[in-house]
Amino acid sequence: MQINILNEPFLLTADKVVFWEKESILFIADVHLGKTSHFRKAGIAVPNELISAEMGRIKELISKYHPKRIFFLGDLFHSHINVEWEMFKDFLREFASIEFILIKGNHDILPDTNYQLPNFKCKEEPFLFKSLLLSHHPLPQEAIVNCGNVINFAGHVHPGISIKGKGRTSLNMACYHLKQKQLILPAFGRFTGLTIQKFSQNDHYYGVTNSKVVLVKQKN
Amino acid sequence: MDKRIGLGKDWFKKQGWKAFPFQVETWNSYLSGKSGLLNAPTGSGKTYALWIACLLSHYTQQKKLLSQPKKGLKFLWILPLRALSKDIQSAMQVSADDFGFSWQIETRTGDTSTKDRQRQKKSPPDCLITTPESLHLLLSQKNSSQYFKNLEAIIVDEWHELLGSKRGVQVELALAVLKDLAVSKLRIWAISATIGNLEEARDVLLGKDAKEGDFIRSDIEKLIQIESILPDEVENYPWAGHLGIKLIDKVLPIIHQNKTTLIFTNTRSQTEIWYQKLLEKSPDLAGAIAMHHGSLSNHIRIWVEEALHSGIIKVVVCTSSLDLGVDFRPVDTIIQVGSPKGISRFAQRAGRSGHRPGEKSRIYFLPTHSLELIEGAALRQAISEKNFEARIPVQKAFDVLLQFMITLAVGEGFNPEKLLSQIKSTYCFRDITEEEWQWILNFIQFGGKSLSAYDEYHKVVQEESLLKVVNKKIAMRHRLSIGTIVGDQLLNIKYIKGGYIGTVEENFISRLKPGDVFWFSGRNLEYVRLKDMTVQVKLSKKKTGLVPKWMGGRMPLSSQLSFYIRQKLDDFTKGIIRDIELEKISPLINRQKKFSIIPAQNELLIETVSSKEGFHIFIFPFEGRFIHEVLASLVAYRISISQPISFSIAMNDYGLELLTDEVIDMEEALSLDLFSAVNLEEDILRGINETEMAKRKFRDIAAISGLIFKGFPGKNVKDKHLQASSSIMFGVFTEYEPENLLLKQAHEEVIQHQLEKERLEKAIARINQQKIILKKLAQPSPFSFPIMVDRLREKFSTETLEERVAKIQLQLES
Repeated sequence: MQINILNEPFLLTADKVVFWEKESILFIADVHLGKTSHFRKAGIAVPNELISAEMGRIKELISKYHPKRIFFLGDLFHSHINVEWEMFKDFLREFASIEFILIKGNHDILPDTNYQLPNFKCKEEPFLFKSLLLSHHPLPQEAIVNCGNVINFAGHVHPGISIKGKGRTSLNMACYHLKQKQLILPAFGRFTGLTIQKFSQNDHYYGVTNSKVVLVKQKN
Repeated sequence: MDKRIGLGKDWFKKQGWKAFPFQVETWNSYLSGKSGLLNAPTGSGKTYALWIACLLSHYTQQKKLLSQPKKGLKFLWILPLRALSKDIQSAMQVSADDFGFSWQIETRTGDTSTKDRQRQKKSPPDCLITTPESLHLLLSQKNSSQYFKNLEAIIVDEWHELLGSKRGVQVELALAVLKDLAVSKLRIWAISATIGNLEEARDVLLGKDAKEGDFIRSDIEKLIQIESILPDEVENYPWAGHLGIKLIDKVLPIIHQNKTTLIFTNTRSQTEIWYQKLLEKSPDLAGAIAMHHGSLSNHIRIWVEEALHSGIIKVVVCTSSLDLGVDFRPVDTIIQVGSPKGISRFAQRAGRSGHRPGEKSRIYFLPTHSLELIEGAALRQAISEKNFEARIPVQKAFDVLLQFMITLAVGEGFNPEKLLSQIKSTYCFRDITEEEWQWILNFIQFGGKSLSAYDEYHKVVQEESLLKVVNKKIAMRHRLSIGTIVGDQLLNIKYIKGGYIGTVEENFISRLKPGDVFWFSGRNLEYVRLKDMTVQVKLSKKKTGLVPKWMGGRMPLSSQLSFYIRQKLDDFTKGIIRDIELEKISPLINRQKKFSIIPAQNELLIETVSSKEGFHIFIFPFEGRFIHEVLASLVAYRISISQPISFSIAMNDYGLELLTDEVIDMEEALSLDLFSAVNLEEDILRGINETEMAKRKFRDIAAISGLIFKGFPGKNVKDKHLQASSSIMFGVFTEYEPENLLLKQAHEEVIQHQLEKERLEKAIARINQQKIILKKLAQPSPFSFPIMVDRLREKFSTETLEERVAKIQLQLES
């Protein structure tokens, strides 16, 4: 679904990533790579295929959107150094023409030396890019306003919404949460949960179903 | 006859008792080297039937003590509940001393101090009284082969309690390994109360040696007197509900007229509420009333148990935590609040009163809603006909096996070929296939399929011919999580100033805000904060508080009890009203008749009602909650084949409800043959895949097999990073490793336990013989009302997510 932010069109995709077509940039939040190996190292038998599958999902995004640049909005790598990081480095080398930028989150605990790769940069939050203020943790309103006419893209929350129908049917799904001057992205990684958001009249919620993104409204 | 029997009889005489024939029979059988099962009720002297035999076996035929007794652990006494161990220990110690043995008889449970454990490890006692979990912990020690070398006998007490559960499988596995660790041939005995499948109980215990086993039955008859507590006006008594508090005025005189009363409730929250209300109504009970449930701290429970023994307490409100065999002599009256769900459980609870041989047991049944009165009558008839439920043994519990293998690997390690033959000797795994075994070995060594050469997975490694756990952290974590009872995450409750009160489930606390007040352990507590997995509280003077809701307590009605309920209803249709309960409930039944009908044995009642919430379909098979859940999914699925539709499902033990947002033409739907036995399993599996039953089963399986780590309350902060939700795991496995045995087990458990396949097939066969009576009602009938207000709901949908979203038209939960 396409929405306009600061008069620019952005694509909220059902892949749980935001695509800025004009600049050819993908924004991905909360990938949480490394968790699989982390678990396996502790003797917990999470299927190993999951590692390549998660990177495979990013590869699919690349072949679908052909981005020049990918921003990770924090929590890219959820562990100490392990095999998965090596695999991720191989992955980065494979896409040498794309620039990857990580805005560091609370789970990105690897020392900076690990991030030194030609096409991979690491930034502390908040990071201003054109009129976008990028962060992992959603920034407070004052902080955004102080930066002028910008909008904050953030992750961390893993937003979800719960919708209810007649006959007591209800369902939960991941969502994009658009607030005043702020867009919170759904978590990309599959090894994550949802935080169900309380509905606020002033905000917009874009639910992610299997193949579509839909605007969720409150029934009056 | 064995000459040593005389010694046993003499000892009984000295106590002023006379040995029962079943006791002598057991001594004889044991002394001739046999294993077997003893069926005897609690309070009949069953402990002495086996323990005296153990003592006699250390005498020669010339009635002399054996000249060269072996050192170390000789007898293992396995109990389902640690609360039982103290009593039995003292009885056993006294008799052992009398017989001239200077033996150490000790207990080893979760309550045993680290110091005592260390001592028991270095110098093992002669007899150890323990639980299945603690026994597995012993097997995780490095010296287990030495430790169990001189074992002579294992006695599993209250075997019926363990049999139908995964704890029973734990016992089976431990027995299989111990049989080989012991140098001489082990005698294995179980003591069981009467259940519907005693022969099978023995076969499960003895595994492949079942044929050699003896079967001894005591001929002691236990008389049970059953009386229902009747509401004055059945129409004013709630039609739905689960508390029964309205009848409190009729309970007080019973308490006052008797010496000591136990009030059994089905849930811990019910216990808290009854305790609170009883004190409110009758303040003079202060100091003479107590409660007992699994979430209370140990010292409170022990205090209650001791007070019960000494008779200083008049009434205890409790849950199944007091179900089992401790002998509280002063107890002369039992009150069961709400449906006991099964005949055996009711009889067992009744047996907590009049505990001595020859005494009568007295139990009152207190219905929590009007319809439940029928159960009072049904229970009386069932018990008089001695129709007890069977405990179906668990089959191929791979999660327990995986846990056990890691337990052994943490200990001395195991040889795979040898272990396989031991495992195959158990009843649970007698049919394990080579393929399954290879998968398991692969899983513990490589974590399933391994992708890359430099994978870091190495939980179990091979050292010569043995598989072992070498990583200390993994070993430690495993020891912490041995066991098969999986609950919600438990949090400790403590006062801010210190002082442990008990535990509560995390999901209750997560609904509280600081400042909220809740009732726990009979106190009004204010929630202050959550810190390091501890709920900090202070006493509060606020009047009304929440009562924590604990999970569990959602047992289904047993098929035996449902049978009797249907029979009582059938009696109504024929105008036969023999029981006082049925007489009492007549006005309500007549009301049901006026609105709708009372189904006879050969009829199936279906009612439909439209309401603000949507279109309700009620079906009344009277088969118990679980079967209803399955039938609901089945019917929902079969209706949905012709049109995409979403249902929400609710059920109780009498019937089920399908609720949907559009009106369904039921006559047309019924023409689809909704209850057909054709394609039954396929249709159900399609139905339940949607309803997430397997996911729920997987939660326990994942915890038992070590896939998710919960740790213990207060101890798990460090490992927080290893916590993952089992539902994510379930999704991951379904997608990437569909051949995973644990995943398959989840589905299989759903079929066997939740769907109760055999029972379901019988129910379907019965329904297909019945005439369907369809009633369109303007308002819910007395039968359907209780289901309608039940808030525990399942979802069923064949619509895609997009369709559902479109349909719900985005009505937000605010």
